[in-house]
Amino acid sequence: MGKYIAKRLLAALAVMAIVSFMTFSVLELIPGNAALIAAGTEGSATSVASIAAELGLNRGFLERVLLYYKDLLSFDLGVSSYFGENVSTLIGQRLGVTFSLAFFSVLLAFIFSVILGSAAALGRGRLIDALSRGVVQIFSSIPSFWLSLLFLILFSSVLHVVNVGDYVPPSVSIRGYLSSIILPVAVLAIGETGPLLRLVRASMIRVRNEDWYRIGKVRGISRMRLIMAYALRYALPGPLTLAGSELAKLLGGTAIVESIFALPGLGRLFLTAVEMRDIPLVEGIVIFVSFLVVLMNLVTDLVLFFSNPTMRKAGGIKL
Amino acid sequence: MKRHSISFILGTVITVVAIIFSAVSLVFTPYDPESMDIYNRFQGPSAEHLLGTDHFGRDILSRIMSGSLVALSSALLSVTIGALLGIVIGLVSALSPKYVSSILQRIIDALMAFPTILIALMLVTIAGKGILPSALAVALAIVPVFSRLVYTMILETKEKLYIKAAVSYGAGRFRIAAFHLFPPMFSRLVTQFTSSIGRAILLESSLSFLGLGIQPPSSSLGMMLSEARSYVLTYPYQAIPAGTTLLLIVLGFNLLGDGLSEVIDGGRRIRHG
Amino acid sequence: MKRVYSAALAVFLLSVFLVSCSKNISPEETQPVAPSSSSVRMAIAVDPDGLDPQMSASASTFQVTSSIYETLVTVDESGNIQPCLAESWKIADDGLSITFILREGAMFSDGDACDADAVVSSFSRLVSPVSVRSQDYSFISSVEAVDENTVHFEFSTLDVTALAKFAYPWSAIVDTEHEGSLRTEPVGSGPYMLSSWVPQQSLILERNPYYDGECGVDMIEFVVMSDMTSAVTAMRNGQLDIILITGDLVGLFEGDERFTIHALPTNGLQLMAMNNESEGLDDIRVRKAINYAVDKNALIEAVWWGYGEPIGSHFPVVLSEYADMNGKYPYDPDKARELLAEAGYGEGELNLRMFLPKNYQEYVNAGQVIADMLRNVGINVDIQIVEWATWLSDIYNGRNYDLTVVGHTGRLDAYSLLSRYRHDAAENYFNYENAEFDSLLDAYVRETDEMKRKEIAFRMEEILAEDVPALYIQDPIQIYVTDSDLEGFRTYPINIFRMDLLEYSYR
Repeated sequence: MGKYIAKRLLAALAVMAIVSFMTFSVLELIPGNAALIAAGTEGSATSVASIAAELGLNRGFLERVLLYYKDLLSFDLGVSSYFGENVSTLIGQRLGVTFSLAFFSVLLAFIFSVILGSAAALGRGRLIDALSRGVVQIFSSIPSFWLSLLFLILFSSVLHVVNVGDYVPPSVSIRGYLSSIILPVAVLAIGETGPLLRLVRASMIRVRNEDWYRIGKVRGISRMRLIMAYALRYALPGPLTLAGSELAKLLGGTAIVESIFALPGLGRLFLTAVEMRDIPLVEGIVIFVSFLVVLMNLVTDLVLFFSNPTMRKAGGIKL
Repeated sequence: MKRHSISFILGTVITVVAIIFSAVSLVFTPYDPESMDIYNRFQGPSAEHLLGTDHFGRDILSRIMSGSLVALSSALLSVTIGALLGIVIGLVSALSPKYVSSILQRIIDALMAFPTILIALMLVTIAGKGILPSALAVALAIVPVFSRLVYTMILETKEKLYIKAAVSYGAGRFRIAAFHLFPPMFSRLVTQFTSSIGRAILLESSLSFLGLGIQPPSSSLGMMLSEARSYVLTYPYQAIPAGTTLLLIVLGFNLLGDGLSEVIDGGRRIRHG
Repeated sequence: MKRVYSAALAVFLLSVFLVSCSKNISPEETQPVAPSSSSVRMAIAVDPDGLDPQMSASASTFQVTSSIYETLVTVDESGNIQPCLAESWKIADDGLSITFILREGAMFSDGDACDADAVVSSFSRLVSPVSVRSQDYSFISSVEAVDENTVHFEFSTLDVTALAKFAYPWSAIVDTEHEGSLRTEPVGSGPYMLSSWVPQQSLILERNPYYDGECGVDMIEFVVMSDMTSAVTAMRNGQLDIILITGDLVGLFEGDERFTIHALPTNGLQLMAMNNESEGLDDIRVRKAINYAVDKNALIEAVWWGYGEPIGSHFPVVLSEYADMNGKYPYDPDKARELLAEAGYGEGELNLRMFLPKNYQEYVNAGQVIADMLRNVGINVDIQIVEWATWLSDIYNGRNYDLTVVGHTGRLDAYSLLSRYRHDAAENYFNYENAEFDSLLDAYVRETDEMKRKEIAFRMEEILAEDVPALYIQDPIQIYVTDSDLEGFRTYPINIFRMDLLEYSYR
């Protein structure tokens, strides 16, 4: 077991190395740099050169990359060239926002999917099944940025119920916090519901066809008890692992929603960092997010690994 | 007895209508989609402009028609590229020695962890305008879906008896792939292809929304929405036509993909039954 | 059973993670200011590019630093020089030296004296290569502290505009003892000091306890709102006191007595630059044709909702040396086609590449409208929207373009404003070359007679209007909306805010 985890972590390191090197290369290839941005249209050519030297941009590409990795080994992510602040501080300030969005939206989508999915698969009515399938299709077809705009129009400008662009951390006011994230969470949750609901419904249909479920029914165990005590326990690991990996994906994928709702999250920080050619900040975010993704995938794989011994044999987990 | 799939019928109808609607823009649009009329901007729907005019007084219907064509063709292009690449990677990693496949797997992992925004930014700044750069960026996001699918399907079929038989007859690795592994996967791939088009359209439009997609004056649905964003408070109607069209087209392809798999699976069940 | 537990464990771990993450934002950093009469909340679109005024060229920096640091002199709304850190000054008769008498008892926000020595070391830093502006101040040959409150500057060349250079916010006096950390921990002698700054969220200033002047409000909070929709919504819900809006949004505030709308022309200008060395654009007839082809009033209506003063040369209307050049090229598409034909370009034969900076939606819009107008006279325009970094590298510095739309911030005198048209200037991205213009620039800085200097400025404006190295669009009108109880809000011809002059009145 320990060996497996060690191997996975090693692979994770390899992935992060590839990703961070790709990021360096992309930033090297696209035109413009932080020194040009700092000087703008009012600074002079000599100042561009002196700012570039200050930021270490006058060194060669490989030298800069190696210096960065050297610092990284001592867990130093460097200083943002645009904000002049430590990259780790900047990421820390925003993690709460992005994590709140990702966590609550996946949680909401998960609860909704389990309720609707079980009802659709195990319930009697065909109507509710048709409804759940309709929800899957429509929810996975709505562009999230469009939905954000619609929500913005409806709740903020027509109904005036939610304030936008004023993020309140939970430590200040729980109510303010919830009201500042509720719209983006709803938008993201709708996007996550499609795949989750589909999977819950499919696993529940499998449950329906299991012998023990039929026997349970014949023996007259109440439907509610049967679902709560047996069916869910049997069917949920799959959807849970999906929820885990969706959560990981969202940590790097809330940029658009954050910028429409003007929330100070990681995604928006990333967009700004790229725009400002802030190499340490871009690198820091990319490395951090890919680390989280790899970690979440490892956790979900381990859950799967423990829950289903056949996976070990079938080679479902590639080492 | 053949079961009718509502998804399939609905999906087919919507996609066919969308394709005709956008193809017509090649020969006819009510107005020139790029021509401006500053003093007649922000008009609501009327007999003259069925869907009204945008912030430059351009006819929204005409822009949606040509924008849909751009969306459909770029999605088709990116899914084709992504699927081909993904299938090749999946095949190679499933049939190669373990170390090759684990290297390929790490590359796919890295690709999945790498931000699509950066890829798009690089391609758009380096390769310039047109639909190709953004289509490529979307294609790279599609690759892992296909490579994973092919990879797991092969691992499943590999264990089947008829493959083992073929191996025992001494059939070569790629002969087995071409004649025995690939055909049963075909229907799953077609289904995946169809629903990936919906996903590609969404991805392209979100890149356009960030200004990393197709360049103006060509109209893209995502860009139209991005422009509408500035007028949410004053002219909220601007966000409606392009968004609805986008929703319908994506819904059409998703339904079609779902319906296809129902029809194919349904057909198989009947054959086996 | 086991699998459910592991799944539950995973969820639990995530929750713990979440809670620990949200704690990263410490309360004192983000505590919203309780609504009180002595605090002002203002929305800004982007964060400052650091809070070290000598190390930045971005307007967003000076809007904040002008409250934290002081310059030797400052300006009023019309651009007249006013005392600031210096109470008085004396320019030598030959114009080659200047002596400032500092306000007594001025102190930095860390309690150190902001005396003549501090001024000397701040200026030594400004003229050294580490500062972005060193070139602008290369005319200073020496700075010395005569006594505790007297600073003497010697100039190597005569520059009649020298005094104005001590008013620009980048010449602010910084505490050089903290020079390495000024970007995030500024120390100045201004009325306010930094209390906290969470990038992309908010930046809070509080009173500088060592500042001896008056302040109407105790706390200024700049709220970073990149999206105008959310800023406007917050303003209408009473959460903000000052915002900058675009013309289309004026209707939302008009007639509401809670708000005051200030629509004021700014010291700046917006133009479509043409690369004077590109094929086609090297012919003055083509550049004139482009000027005839564009209906400026329609353009300003389309992009800025009519909020702008059309201009005909590279000069903002708010400056005293402004000359009206609008009559030169009235909108006349037929004349444009004629000139194009004369230059040898028939319908659809001239192809031009237009690059637009993505971050500036107004320039992207303006470019598209201009392109449509140019298409009407038979010029094909190929638009490409690029990121600001790319624009700076390839277009502004690389000069690889035909057309581009951009804005320039104004200066206080014609020389600083127009020196980018000198044929060998690094900032001359137009690739413009005119020997008469170059010699007029030199004459301007040496001319001590104000009337004659004005004449030279007029002539330079006329030459640019004649040669049209660019299509000059407008001097923008900025529209600020403030809480109607808030008084003392003004805009200035340089990039500063005077937050110390704000105060609340009650109806």
